Amino acid sequence: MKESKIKIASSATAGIGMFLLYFAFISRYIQLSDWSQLSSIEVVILLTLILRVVVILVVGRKIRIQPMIKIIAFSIEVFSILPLLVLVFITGGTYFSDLMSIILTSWFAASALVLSPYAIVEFSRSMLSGSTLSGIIINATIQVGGILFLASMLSRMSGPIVGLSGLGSTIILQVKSSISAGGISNAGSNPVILLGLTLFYVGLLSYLTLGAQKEGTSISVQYSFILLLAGTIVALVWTTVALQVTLDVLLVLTAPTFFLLAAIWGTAHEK
Amino acid sequence: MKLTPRGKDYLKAILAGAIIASILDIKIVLTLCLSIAITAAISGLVLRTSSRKNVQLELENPHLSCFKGDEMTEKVRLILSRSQLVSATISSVQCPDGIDASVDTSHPENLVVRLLPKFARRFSGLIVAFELRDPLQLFSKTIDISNNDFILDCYPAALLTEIRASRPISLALGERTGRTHGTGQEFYSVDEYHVSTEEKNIFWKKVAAMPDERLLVKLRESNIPRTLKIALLQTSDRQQDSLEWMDHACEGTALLGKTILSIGCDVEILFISGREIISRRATDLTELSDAIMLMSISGKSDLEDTPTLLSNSDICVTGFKELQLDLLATTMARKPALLIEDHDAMPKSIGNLSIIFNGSQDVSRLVNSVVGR
Repeated sequence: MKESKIKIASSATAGIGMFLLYFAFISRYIQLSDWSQLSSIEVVILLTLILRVVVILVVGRKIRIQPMIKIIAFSIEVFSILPLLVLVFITGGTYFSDLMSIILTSWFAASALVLSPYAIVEFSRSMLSGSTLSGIIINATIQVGGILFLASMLSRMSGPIVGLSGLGSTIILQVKSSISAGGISNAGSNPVILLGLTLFYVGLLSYLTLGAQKEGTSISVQYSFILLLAGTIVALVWTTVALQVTLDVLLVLTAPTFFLLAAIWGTAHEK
Repeated sequence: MKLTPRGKDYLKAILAGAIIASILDIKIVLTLCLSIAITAAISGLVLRTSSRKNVQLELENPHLSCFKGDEMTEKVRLILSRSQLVSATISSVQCPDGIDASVDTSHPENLVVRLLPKFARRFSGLIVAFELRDPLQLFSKTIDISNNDFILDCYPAALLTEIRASRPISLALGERTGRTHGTGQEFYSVDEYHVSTEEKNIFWKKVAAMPDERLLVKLRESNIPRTLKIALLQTSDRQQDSLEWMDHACEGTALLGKTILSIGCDVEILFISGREIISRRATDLTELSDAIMLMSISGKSDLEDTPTLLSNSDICVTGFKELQLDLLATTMARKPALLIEDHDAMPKSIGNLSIIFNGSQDVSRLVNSVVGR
């Protein structure tokens, strides 16, 4: 059917774009990582997380798994923090605090490595399962923000990353500096990242606009595509012109978006 | 123009995406939100410039006919000049009062409307409401188009009733005038001689007195009128009861007309439309049906026009409300009349030649009182 073809193509394009971002991250990590001193705890956490993802994927095809169960399954390590804290308080020694640090940082790293592709697959599926547009864009924004952050972070690094806990520590430090800098830093000129972002943009744009086409209606897909192209060209022209005047993203992108939203909302409620 | 459910979700998506992307400084998502906002604005503009001028209504059969109680179907189709940009679906069809309508919306662009008229009369006009949507299905607007060419003639069920045909016997020759020439004994008029005229009718006395050589003949009177005239008199406002009243008037007129046709006479239906007295002659059931349908849409007339109407008619069809006026009640008491009940009115008087009709009475007494049985 016409509707499914456009939606399938859009979700596949967006998914491939996000996978390219993940690929940029994982390939850089493979170049920089040093797993010669990987501890048994890191190995256990990584392997069990892979196993948990596989089980959830397989079982999820047969029965519907509640989101809370998935959250608990993927963050079992977090439940070990409280007993370790108690032990740290009781014993006062550094062993349990070091153990807690290794578990947390390894879990961060393993989640970034293993859960990211899983989340991309689930996101692409949700685009086909009739989720609301607002849910999809919120999900997409958070996911692409996370993967872009990881890819950008490693693209700027040159030193080795020791084990999983090394990656986890790097992630935590970079999150702190990103928050103080006011956002995710630029991806730079990495071609894989740029291609991934472009595919993500095109996939989501076509899903949000052309995804409403129904088979049997008289509306031509070509005309809808022209409309979409016109919107994109106007946005790009505006951005190019506005950037000549100011580099403030708030004035170039955010404010015009909110202004247009208000105008559309206002005219659609005219009597 | 208003937002569809998808449109509301779309705007929420832009808002949520723009807020989160602003906080996390993800420029690609901000650019995406701006692009889709501009696309939505352009799509809304396309719908805003569409109007009823871009839409035509096509009816499969603009003139339907049926008997009271029969169900008819009509197919309604929308022809949209901007069909590649804007979608149109028929949302509802509004029929005139007195018709029960149900709509089959399984094919939104070709609607099947089932019509069940409850009253005998002519119904006209149809209002079709349809919804236009923009290419991205974000906005919608509803437009009404009225089609005044649509006509549904609902014939009275009385036209289907069996009337025992009987020619009246002229027991009292010459007592009543037939108002036309025929084979009676009484003198009617003088006319010129034609080859088909019988020579015994040549009016020799008149011929002798003529300055030229024309031959004149004596025409004799018919004892049975060739045409009986039924007049509809409606001078009162009936508002919500008007449909039911006119239904009874049509049924009564149909019964009268059919009875008259069965005895070999023609029928003439008289009614006032505007300030004019309209007359429709019927020699068969088809012409009678058409005349009754025209009569059903005649509307209320002024009292000033009633004397002419009454004097030209043999039988009058009127209601209790009209007989609340002394003058009319007195006039009608001397005339064969078919009276239609009005629930909230009582006539001043009812003549012996009148019949109160509510759908099932035998009206042959009225016809016989005119032809002289």
